Amino acid sequence: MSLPTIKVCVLGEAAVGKSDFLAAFAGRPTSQQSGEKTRRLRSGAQVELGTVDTPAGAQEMAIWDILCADGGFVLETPYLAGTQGCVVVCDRTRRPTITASRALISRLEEAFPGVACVLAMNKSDLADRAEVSAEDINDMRAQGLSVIETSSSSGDNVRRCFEELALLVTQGG
Amino acid sequence: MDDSVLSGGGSALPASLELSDLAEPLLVRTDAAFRVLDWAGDPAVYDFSLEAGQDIRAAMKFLVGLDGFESVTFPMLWVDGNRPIHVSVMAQPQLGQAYVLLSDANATDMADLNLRRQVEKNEIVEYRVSQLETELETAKKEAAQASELKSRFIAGMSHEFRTPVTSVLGYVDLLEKDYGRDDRRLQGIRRSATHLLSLVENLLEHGRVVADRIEPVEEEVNLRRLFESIYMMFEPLAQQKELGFEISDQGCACEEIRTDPVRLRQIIVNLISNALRYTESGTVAVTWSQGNDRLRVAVADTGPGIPEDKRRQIFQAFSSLEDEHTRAKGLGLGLSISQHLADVLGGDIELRSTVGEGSVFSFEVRAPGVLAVNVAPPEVQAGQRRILVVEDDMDVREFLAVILADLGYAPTLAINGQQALDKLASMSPSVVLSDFHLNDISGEKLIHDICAAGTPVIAMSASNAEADRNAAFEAGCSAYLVKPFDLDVLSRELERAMHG
Repeated sequence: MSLPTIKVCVLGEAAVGKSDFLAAFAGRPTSQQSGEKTRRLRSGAQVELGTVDTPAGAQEMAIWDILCADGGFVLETPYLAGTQGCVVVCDRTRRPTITASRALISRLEEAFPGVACVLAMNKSDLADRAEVSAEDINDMRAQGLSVIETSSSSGDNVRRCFEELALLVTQGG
Repeated sequence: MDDSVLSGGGSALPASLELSDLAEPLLVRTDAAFRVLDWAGDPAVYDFSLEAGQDIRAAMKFLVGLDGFESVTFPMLWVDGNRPIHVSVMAQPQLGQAYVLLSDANATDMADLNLRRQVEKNEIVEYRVSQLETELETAKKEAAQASELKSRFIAGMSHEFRTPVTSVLGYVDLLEKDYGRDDRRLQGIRRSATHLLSLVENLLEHGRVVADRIEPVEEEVNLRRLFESIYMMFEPLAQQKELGFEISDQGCACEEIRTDPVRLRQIIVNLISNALRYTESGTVAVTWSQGNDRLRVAVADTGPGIPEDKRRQIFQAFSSLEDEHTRAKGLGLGLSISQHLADVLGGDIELRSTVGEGSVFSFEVRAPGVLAVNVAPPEVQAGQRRILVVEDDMDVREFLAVILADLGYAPTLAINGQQALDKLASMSPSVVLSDFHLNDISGEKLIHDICAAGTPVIAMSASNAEADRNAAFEAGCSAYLVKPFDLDVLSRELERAMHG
């Protein structure tokens, strides 16, 4: 059984591994794997389709990668119009990106009431450089934030992020 | 498909974009539920396949999350790695429909970029224009300041010229009594002095026109006496050129009028002066009339006439019609000044001319009549005719001494203000005739002190400035005479002052 397509956006600070995160989800080689630099959009957004399995069935997603999706700019961009869920990617080895991402989630929830958000704690494979401990992550979860430790390089938990987001969207956040 | 939405209702489109700016546009019309109604353009260009009735979001997954009730624009969208597209959703909920417009974003982006570049260019041009305007404004101000300085300089110089010319003309008056008006030597002096005076007057007035607005200074004027004095002024010149010269009145309801005598006289003098200058044979005939509070004056000559194409030019400053056939010389200010003065007096100068036959310059100015009061001056006792003359210019002082004695007064001379005050107590004059710009004491103070002692003062000055005139009257003078003044006017004012 296929479910109605949903619109989700992947947001995050610069250099948090967002493009590789999307590549890992789509099954494309990451920049590390291909040896090529990630193609950066001059402006605008890139949309691709992806499907995840949920208990209710296959969930198709229109996944938007929005350029400059950081700071205050993101909330004003038209590309967010109609979005139902967001994966906010942060870099576990850079605490400022985590702080910014949490702030972004708060602002998204304020600007788009009912939007579902998942925080992808990326680069979790680089445990020795992590600036956020497992305890901190547990604290975030205790506060009601959906946090998933991911790795764009290995692809660990990337798909799970979208599965979690699909569940949150279909269950109404 | 109704294209009006593209330019009219398409609020989601950039205002600057027209359909012609869009590359490969695809316009899809849907109902409010986003079901496809119809479309224009080729969906295959964007790898879409459309069917009427289908949910457009099924074909265009990037529209998921939107509906037909909200307008939105995605300027640059990459869909599944294809080329970027520009997407505009234009909701028209009141019509129960929406439009989705797709176009090649690179081309649209380029058009937008070009537009932005053009805007930037325009901003640079506008900035440059505003800079140039500022520079122009500054240059205009500087030019205006320079022009005003020049005018003030000319006015100042002209002012200085007046006093000696007054003296020359005064002596000519005196000499004519002894040698007669036919003396060619005196005619020569009078002609040159009159011409010089006319040039000075016009330069002075031109400076005033440029520097300030002229306000008429009205007083009572006897028209017959005015024209008589003008006749006396020019008659020798006409005689010397063997021209007929006459001034006649064509009907005068009231001889006594209120006007600015200095300016009125200047207009008439300029017109007659021009007529005599340019007429080599024949006559110069001046006619005047007064009625209905207007004075009409016409100066007709049998000169060369003025060609049609030159008639506007001659009323411009520093413009004249001199050519190799005329020996006439001037500054080309007379008509320009006269036109302006006529305007100040509430009138205008008209010109009728026939080349080879002559010209008629005529004007009409406001000239309300005043009731003439003929009060015969009572007999003045010998002791009451003492006049103290205060004048620091020796020539003018001596001239006044002669002329006053000639008029039957007993003048006593003072070379400055202090000497005047010293003599005032001892001689008890009937009237003090004092220059307003003395070297030692200000005119206002001197007039004030003399009036305080109970003696009337007549002020004299080469300045016709409103400020000087007002200051003199405020100090208490009974009359203010502008040099060179008419002897009749001097005599009349002396009599008036003596009899209160």
